[in-house]
Amino acid sequence: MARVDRTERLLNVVFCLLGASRAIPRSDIRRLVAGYDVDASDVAFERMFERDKDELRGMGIPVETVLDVNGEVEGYLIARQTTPEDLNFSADELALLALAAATWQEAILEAPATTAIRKIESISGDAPAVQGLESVRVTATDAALLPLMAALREQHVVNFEYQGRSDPQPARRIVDPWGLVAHLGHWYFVGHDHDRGERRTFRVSRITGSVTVTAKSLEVARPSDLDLTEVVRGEDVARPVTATVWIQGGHGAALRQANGANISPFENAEITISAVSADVLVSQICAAGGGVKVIEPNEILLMVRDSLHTILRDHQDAT
Amino acid sequence: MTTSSTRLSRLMTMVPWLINHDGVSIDVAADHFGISAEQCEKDLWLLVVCGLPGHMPDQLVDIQFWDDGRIHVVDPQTLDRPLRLSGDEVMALLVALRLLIQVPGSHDRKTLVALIERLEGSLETNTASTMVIDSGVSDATTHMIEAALRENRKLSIIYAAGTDDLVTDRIVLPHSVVTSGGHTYLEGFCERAQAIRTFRVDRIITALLGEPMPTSMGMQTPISQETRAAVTLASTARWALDTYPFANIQDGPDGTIEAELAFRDPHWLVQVVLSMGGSLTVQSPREARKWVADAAAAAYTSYS
Repeated sequence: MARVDRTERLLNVVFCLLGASRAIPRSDIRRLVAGYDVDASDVAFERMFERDKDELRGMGIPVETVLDVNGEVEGYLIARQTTPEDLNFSADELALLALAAATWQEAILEAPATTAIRKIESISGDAPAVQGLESVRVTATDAALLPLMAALREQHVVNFEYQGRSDPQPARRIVDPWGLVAHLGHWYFVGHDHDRGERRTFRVSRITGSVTVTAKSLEVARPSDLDLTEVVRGEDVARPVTATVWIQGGHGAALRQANGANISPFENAEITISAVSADVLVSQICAAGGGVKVIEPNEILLMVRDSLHTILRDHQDAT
Repeated sequence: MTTSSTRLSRLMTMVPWLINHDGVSIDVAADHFGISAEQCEKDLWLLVVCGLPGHMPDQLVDIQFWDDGRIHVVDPQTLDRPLRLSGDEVMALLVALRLLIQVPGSHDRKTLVALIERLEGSLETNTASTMVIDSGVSDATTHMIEAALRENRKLSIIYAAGTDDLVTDRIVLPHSVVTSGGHTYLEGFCERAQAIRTFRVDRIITALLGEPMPTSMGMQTPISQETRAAVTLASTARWALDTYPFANIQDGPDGTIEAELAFRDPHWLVQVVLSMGGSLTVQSPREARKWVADAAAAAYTSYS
């Protein structure tokens, strides 16, 4: 028999299982589906079928495992689970959905967004061409997003290597997934960190290597009143390093906003600012430029002065 | 997605689409699925050898396409309708719709809200709430910008510039809204600057509708073209690569990194360099080096 390529074999598995009226046992799948080598060992077949099944599920094709009365695997089927109404959208809705899908261009969810539109188009008719493609974009290039989404959907514990901004090297984290937040262009993963026994927020781009979705259920579920946006916005609430700065009227906009200074932004002010670390505080003060001056502590003042001096030295030939 | 799953997912959505477009040409179908005509033919050839187990002629998918280059699905077997949307597919649409609703634009909000509710309803309990998008823009500001664009009115804003860190009162003749790198920007003619300016919408503290825009005001193309500066990053500043829009990233001597940093607003560039506290140096253009040097000198005076 001619060699059958992987796509063809996968498609044959789909045909075998899709809309089946009863669960199809593995032995039948092996016999019926062109592409499973009849001469291969049982182990080789099992391995191949497991991989195919995972791949199909990874594509969002609902391969169901059907158990018999004794709890043994009886077989598999793909329920259609859809009626044309599920994918029937009006022309206005379709235009918006196409626009939504286009915002993912080149980002990590472009493929599922495109497939979704194609499925909808086959019921609702073709979507109009999207105008102004450039104007709205979702930023998401982090490959870790997809497994994290799957873990959230399945409510399973994940683990991954993570290197926080101040961590000298990556370390493995085991986390109950609670949510993903895109905040001003960066994705954050919020969950319950097993080793730390507390809620933690991870920047997805700092996850190194791949994310493993385990088969374990969550130890701690997401509190029902948790507001993910607030968690991420308030992530730097713990800000142990403080300094007092003088801000000229109309200057230091970001520092004023971040530190909740309740004075008119157009007035001179002396305010206390804080950050997670001295480095971050110095960075914020430097960024504020000439309208802001450190009053105390002296340690921060010297760090700011040295940073500005370095920048000046490195760029000075042009002055 | 692997190559085979990308292809499989295309093949599965192709058949129902072809049924709805009976007699479509291979070129048009290929274009719709973003593939070459040659690949489209290969896909069709693969489909016709697949089908229900048994592989008797009446158990195979039957598609005719070789006579006149037009495609007719004779027997789709069980692929006549698409599968339901998967979790990732619904989330991909949902998250993007949630972004659209936060961004000022001309889209119909009622339809948008109804769509979001419908998609949320199609997911398992609690799944919809696990992915949130936060553009940092307040509803009040969004509505005001939309009203100004719709009614052709000026906007009066108090703006906390992230770029030079100044809080200013400005009258803006709004032109368009764009998002880039996760931020939403309002582009328009600023009366104060007498030029087209870009304002990050989440930094607009308050926005009020102003007088109608002059009809004769020929709005020119925005000048906020993206420019690139050649920069060197210290080895300790590698983290910045995932924070700012760098391109052409290459390893330099001693663990340093050579790259290009894209920017639209010179003030933004200067602020990024200052905030890096000396671990990022602009090499060119010379003009940009001077902006940084001037800003650093102005700030340094307070301490010397």
